[in-house]
Amino acid sequence: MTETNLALLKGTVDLLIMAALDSGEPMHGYAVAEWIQGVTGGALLLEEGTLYPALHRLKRQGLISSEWGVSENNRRARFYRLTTEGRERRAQGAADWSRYVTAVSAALSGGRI
Amino acid sequence: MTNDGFRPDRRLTDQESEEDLDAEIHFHLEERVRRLQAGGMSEEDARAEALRRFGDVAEARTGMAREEQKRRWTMGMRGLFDGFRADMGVGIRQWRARPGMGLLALITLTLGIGATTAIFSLVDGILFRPLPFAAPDRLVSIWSDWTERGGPDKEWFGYPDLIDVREQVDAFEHVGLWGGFSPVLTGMGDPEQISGMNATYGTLSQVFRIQPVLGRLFTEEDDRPGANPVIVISHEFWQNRLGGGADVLGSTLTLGGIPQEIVGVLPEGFDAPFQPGIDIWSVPGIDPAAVANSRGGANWRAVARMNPGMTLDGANQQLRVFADRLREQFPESYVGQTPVAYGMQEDLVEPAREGLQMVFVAVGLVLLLASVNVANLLLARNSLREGELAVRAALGAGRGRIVRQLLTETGVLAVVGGALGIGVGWLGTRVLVALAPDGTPRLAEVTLDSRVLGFAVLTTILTTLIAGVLPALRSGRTDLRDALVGGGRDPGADRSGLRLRGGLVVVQVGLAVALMATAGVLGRSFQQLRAVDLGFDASDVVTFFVSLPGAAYTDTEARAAFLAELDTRLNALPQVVSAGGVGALPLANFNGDVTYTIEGRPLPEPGQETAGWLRRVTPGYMEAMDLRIIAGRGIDARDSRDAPNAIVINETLAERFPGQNPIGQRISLGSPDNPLWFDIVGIVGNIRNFDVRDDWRDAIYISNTQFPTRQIFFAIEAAEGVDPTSLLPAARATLAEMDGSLAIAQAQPMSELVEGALGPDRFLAVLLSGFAALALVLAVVGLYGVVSYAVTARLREVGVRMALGAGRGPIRLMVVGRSLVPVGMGVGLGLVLTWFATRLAASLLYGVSPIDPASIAATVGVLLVTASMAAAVPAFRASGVDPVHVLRQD
Repeated sequence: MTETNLALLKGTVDLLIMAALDSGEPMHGYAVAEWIQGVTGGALLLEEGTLYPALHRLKRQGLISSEWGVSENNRRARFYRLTTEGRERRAQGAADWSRYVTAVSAALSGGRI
Repeated sequence: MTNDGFRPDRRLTDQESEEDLDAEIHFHLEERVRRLQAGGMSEEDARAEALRRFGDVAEARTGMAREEQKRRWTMGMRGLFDGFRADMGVGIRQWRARPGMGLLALITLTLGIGATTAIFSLVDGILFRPLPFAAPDRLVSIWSDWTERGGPDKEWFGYPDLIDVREQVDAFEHVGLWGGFSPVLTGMGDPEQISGMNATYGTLSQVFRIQPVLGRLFTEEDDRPGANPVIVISHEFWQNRLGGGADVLGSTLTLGGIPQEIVGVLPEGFDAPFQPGIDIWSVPGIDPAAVANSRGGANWRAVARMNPGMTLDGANQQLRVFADRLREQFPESYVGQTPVAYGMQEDLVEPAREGLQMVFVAVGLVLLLASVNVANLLLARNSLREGELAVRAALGAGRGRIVRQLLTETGVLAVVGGALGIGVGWLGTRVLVALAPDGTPRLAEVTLDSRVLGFAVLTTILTTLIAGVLPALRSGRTDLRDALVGGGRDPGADRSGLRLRGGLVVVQVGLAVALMATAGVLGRSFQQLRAVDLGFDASDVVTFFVSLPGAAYTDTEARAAFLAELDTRLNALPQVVSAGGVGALPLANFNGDVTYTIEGRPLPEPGQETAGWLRRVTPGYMEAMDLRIIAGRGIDARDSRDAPNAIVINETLAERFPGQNPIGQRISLGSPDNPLWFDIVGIVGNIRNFDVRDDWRDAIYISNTQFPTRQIFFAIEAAEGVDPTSLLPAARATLAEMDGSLAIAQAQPMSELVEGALGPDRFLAVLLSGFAALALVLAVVGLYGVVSYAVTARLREVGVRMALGAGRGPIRLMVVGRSLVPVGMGVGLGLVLTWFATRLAASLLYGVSPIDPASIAATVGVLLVTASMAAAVPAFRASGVDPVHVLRQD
């Protein structure tokens, strides 16, 4: 458990990216940033620049794939999509995260849920 | 075929460029600015805000680039691995598809690598590996060089001379004197002769620097006259004979009638490199002062450890100065001798060196031949696959890719061949050790260890490269259009391929000729050696060794009487034609030189003394060995202790009396001041005393009764038709009757000893013949492959010729004739190689010239006949074609 939690903490950005890409169509990096901003209502302070190394890392790990395409305003942009493996990992990551949050919440509320 | 590793390489198309990374960041920032501006912000503020939200651009950029780099590397590795796996798969399938060719290549590789590995383990264990002692490069053997007085260059020493070397020559940290002896062990069942070594106190501890596993080694006090007799035993003797318990220390063994206390046990595996198989070690306990004046003898040998930093040249320089001083000091007795130090390892392996080098070179040639053979097979195989390879090339496989695949296929072969070869090498090593002639130095150290394994792996890699690169490069070059248009219908149309393969046949035949001719000349030399007139008749003779212990036979009179009586009793045994004793048997590599002067002649200048082999014999010896009596008589019973000193000389010495009758003249074996005169009573024929290759040399026989030795060999000649070894029990009983504490040792037929003396020559001839046969087979297989291939290539031509009326006979002649062209060129190359190879063997040869016309003629004859036969099979196939059938294929 402990190890999973640590990894999760470090991998929060990865998890958010996968969640964004899981919502449907391929997205470029900017759209991913907007999606995170949108769904969290700006609660998470994210330095947008950190998304990009994370995107390339996920790609290296084979969790997402990428291809060049054209954005809605006709600009050349790189679009990402979740691979099958990425989808599985996203589900697993979401489940781990919930358990983690539950556990931490329980601890912080003095063992009463 | 799409699974064969020829899918298009995705790495290049998928590679991220630096610009792409920049473009991705740029797009993000522009998009943000656009949105902010749409929200009413000024462009300037929007840019500032976009950058703020993005954070550190450079860091993001670096992070992306790093991930991309990692990804590329992983993919590259995966690609390589996948490619390799695919190649392996294809390779294995390819070999399975054509098992005959694969099997042939595999057998060739296995034999080549196996033979090379086995020979290397022998050569490495004996020649290359350092001796298993501390700082082995400081170990030397010291010999006495007697060439100045007409003696051998490696003679033994007198005890005080070597003690003086130890004390006066700085070059050496320690000098150990040694001499083997054969004590009779009593009190443990039947009396038994064991193998002993008498070596001065520091030989084990200071020269070889070994530690006992139990107890102690000798001290200087042990090695003094009158000291309590103590011995140190070998690990093997301790384990096998004494039970291997710690209580062995302090117990005693009765050797030569004297109880001797065991004070130490040597470490396991320690063997005196100069004389293996020693059971017990003792110290001589001689007081140098007591023998200080008996100089110039030849009954001790020496090993030494040089001081750190001392060189062999430096040591020999000092030894020469020492010898000059000793000669001045003892002008009468220390004459024409100089101690010479040799590196111990070189000295030990010297007798085996040239033969082993020869064998090593030979096996190297066999390996080369095997590689060429495999190359040839691969070329043939690849040309049959030209169509397939062209298709692959057409589908986008680059030349490098195809070369890589072919090399991997060869690699599959090499891995299997190498593994089998190491197995064969392991077996071969054991066979070689078993077959190696007696007296081969360091044989116990020959093993197939990590050094040898490393060598085998290197050999395999080298072989693969030689065999695989050429064919792979050639096929990589295949012209797509030619191959596809040819459609594989006429696989041999490629003339340059034929030329290349013809060239390989030239090399193969050349190597085979060189090996066969060298083996031939060595075989002829061996024949000559076997046919050498030894001067004695070894048939029906059995020999054994008897040693009289010093304690019981101190008195020379008693020794003389005992041995004369033994001679008489042995001669009286039934079935015995004649029996007699001698100080050293012929061919036993024993010099035993003596300097002599002839009465009435001017004394020779110092350094010009005459010397010869000295042998003490009992009355029956000359008859037992059938030495030819040329004039007068042999040593016999008349030469008793009361009779005048008698001497029998050999033919060569008799030539020093031109125009005179030597019989009746006198010879002195003493110094000029103190002559010891002998009457010449007879002349006997020359015999090979030291070695089969001896040149005739002066030899002197004296009566053992008059000058008795303590250690003697007896030779018994059995009646015709009687197995001489069947006389041994009676001989044993006779000895036991006379003295129950004595035992006979080293019993063997004299013929065995003669065969043993030829052992190294036989070993070499057998090995070389084996390699030559292997070479012939490989070359013939190669030739057969090429001719069959050429015949297939020319089937249409043959068809046309036959359609035009050519007979089958001329067709066959044409095919065989053409195939003999590369064979002829190979023979030419082989003759050149032979010239070099036999030169290498020159010093090993006896009675034949290195360029031996008979061996060369036989080699060329055998090769041409075999080659013609190899070519005839495909030639018959060619002449059997149906022209209509062949031509219709167009």
